[in-house]
Amino acid sequence: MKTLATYSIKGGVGKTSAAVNLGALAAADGLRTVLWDLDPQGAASFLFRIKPKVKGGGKRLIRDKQPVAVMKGTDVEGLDLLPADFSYRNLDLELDRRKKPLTGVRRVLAELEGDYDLAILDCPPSISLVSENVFSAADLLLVPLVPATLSVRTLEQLRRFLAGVEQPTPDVLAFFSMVDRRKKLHRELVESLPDELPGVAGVAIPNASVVELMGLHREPVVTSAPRHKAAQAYAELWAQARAVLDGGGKTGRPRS
Amino acid sequence: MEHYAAVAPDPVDLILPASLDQAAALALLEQRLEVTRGRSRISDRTLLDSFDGRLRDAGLRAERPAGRSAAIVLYEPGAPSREARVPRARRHLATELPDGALRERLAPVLEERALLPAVRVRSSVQTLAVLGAEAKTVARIELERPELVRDGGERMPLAARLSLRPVLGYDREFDRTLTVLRDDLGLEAAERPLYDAAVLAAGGRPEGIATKVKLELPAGTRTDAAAALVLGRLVEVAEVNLPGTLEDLDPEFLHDVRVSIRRARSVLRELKDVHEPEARAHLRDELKWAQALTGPVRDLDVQLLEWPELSAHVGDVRAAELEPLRALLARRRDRERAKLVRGLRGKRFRAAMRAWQALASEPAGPGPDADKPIEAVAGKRIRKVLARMLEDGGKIGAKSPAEALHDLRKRGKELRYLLELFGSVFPERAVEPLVDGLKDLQKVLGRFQDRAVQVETLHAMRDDLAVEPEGPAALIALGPVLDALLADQQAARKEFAAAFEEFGQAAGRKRVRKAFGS
Repeated sequence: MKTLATYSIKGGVGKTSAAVNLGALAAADGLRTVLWDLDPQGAASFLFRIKPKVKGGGKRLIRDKQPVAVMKGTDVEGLDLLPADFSYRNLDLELDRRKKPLTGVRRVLAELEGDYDLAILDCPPSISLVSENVFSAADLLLVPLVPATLSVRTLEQLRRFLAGVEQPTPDVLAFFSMVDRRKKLHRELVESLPDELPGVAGVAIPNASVVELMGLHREPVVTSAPRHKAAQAYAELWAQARAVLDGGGKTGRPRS
Repeated sequence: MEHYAAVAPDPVDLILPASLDQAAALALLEQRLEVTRGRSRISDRTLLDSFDGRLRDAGLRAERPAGRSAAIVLYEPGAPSREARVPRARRHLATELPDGALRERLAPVLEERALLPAVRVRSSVQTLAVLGAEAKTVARIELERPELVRDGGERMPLAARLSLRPVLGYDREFDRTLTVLRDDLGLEAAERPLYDAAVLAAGGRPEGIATKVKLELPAGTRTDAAAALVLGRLVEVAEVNLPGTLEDLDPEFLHDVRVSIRRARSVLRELKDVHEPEARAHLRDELKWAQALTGPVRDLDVQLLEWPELSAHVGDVRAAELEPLRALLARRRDRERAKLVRGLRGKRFRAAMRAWQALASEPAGPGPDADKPIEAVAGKRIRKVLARMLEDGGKIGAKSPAEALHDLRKRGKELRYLLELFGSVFPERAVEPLVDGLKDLQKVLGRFQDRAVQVETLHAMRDDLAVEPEGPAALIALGPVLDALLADQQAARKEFAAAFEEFGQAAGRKRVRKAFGS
């Protein structure tokens, strides 16, 4: 089983949208896919009409390592969800109590090995112990970049952080999110950054109303409007992510 | 701690009554359940399996979707589907499939058997989502109207089905839906999976064609009746394997024809006082001829099947140098196959098959053993062959000629056929250990003999090989191959004593001797 995480230090940049759409695309490709909504806000769970509730909370999940007991099938065939829970806001504390605080998430995922081909982690925005767990579990970090100078700085921060981590770290693939083609800076950065920075995919998810309306329709764009340019951008992102996961792609950073 | 597995309830297939057309079925479901229609599609696919139904037996399903004639998709419960680009062909041996997950999974299942088209089914499928609170999908339904598509394109409707499939974490909703479908709507569970129904409707056997002859003869069966039953089943197996042999679909077809012939010859040899002597002698001659007719291609098949193992003796580089030898073997096989096909299509072979059928279906002649119970006649033969084996084998030492081992192997085959064909009338606890001991012994003797035949065949090809382009290099590379074969033959010889001793112990047990009437 491969593990992909949508991650950003910043919030509201399109992590959850990417996670649910990539989940639907992976399932459509025939991969048995599980999405773990690690964000206590539970946006991914909400999008799939699943209560953000885990019996016993994050504490029991990390302790007992029985994810299947609380998982739910989504409306997308082949995609199951490990829902969010409000108690995940204290997941750092829970992980810190364990003997091996950096591997709690990985151990839960290990229980799904053999039953799933792909796990997607939708992460809360932060750099915390949960994030370090995600870095330890994931094969690939997908990082949404809103085209702005500050976002690039945030990506650099993440890279520096990963470079200082002793354990093996995931590949990093950044992609543009919430792109507004009417803005000159957005157009310029989308054009130039993939050439200037290694590990930046030339994929731009547009800042389209169809993406925002996902919250209303509660369905991924790739299934509700598969021909929309946003859906096609997610498809392109999935193709690039899959190439990296299958070992055929390049992110500009060798797998540690 | 309770352990949860990542499994939901099994899907359930229900049969829709013929009186309910698609519109009526949809209306009924929409009336009784909270459902929303999903996409509808046409699913046109050909199911592939081996002649003996190995994939079905292993819980696998291979399909070639129509319209995507270059793809084969393999489905296995609890595993992702595996797909490969495989251009349409009349058959696919595992070795002919492209490298990858599909081949990796199929090769150990298929072994030497080919993947063949079994049945084509074309369905219109309407998907429906069963909705729970907040319009969440809690179960899935597929309404399928399948048709069997025959070779000429003629279509035959099969019973329409409703397949109810679970969504993880919604077991209660699944049960509730099933109750509505079964109890309120009165839908009945399908007796068999769709493909089984389609294969049956096409006149085939879903489980494939068994080529093993396993007969349960009641004790006290007259010997002529037992002989007729066994000969009848054997000729059936030979007949059913002939088309595949003629079409050269896979090497097992010819092998099974040959095994049937050999077994029939064994029945005639062992039960000599049952049939009318002239008819028996005639059929024995004809089967001997048929065995000889089919021999050369089988020998070359074995050489080619064992090629990877054979060339592995010399390493990758020299294995490439051996290629002219493989090509020569393949050309010889083509030549011999042409002779075989002429022979199998010829009058003499057809007449031999008729004579075989006749002896299996007509009342036996006035032989003195005809009305004796089979356990008496077969038991006597088993005792005799066993005693002879023990005597001959006991005399074999380190310096005995190779013929002594070859002869012992022939006796072993005689015994094996007697036990396989008539073993059901003897106590299982006596037959089983004897068969097990015999199998191990025959394996060693078989290796000894096969290596000798291989060395002889390859030796005999040296002159022809020398005049081939790149032939001299192949000849040099052949040296280590022959050495390895001879070394393996010697190793088998060394293993003989232990295998024979074990066999002797199994055969010498009191209950074994008693079972066969000593």
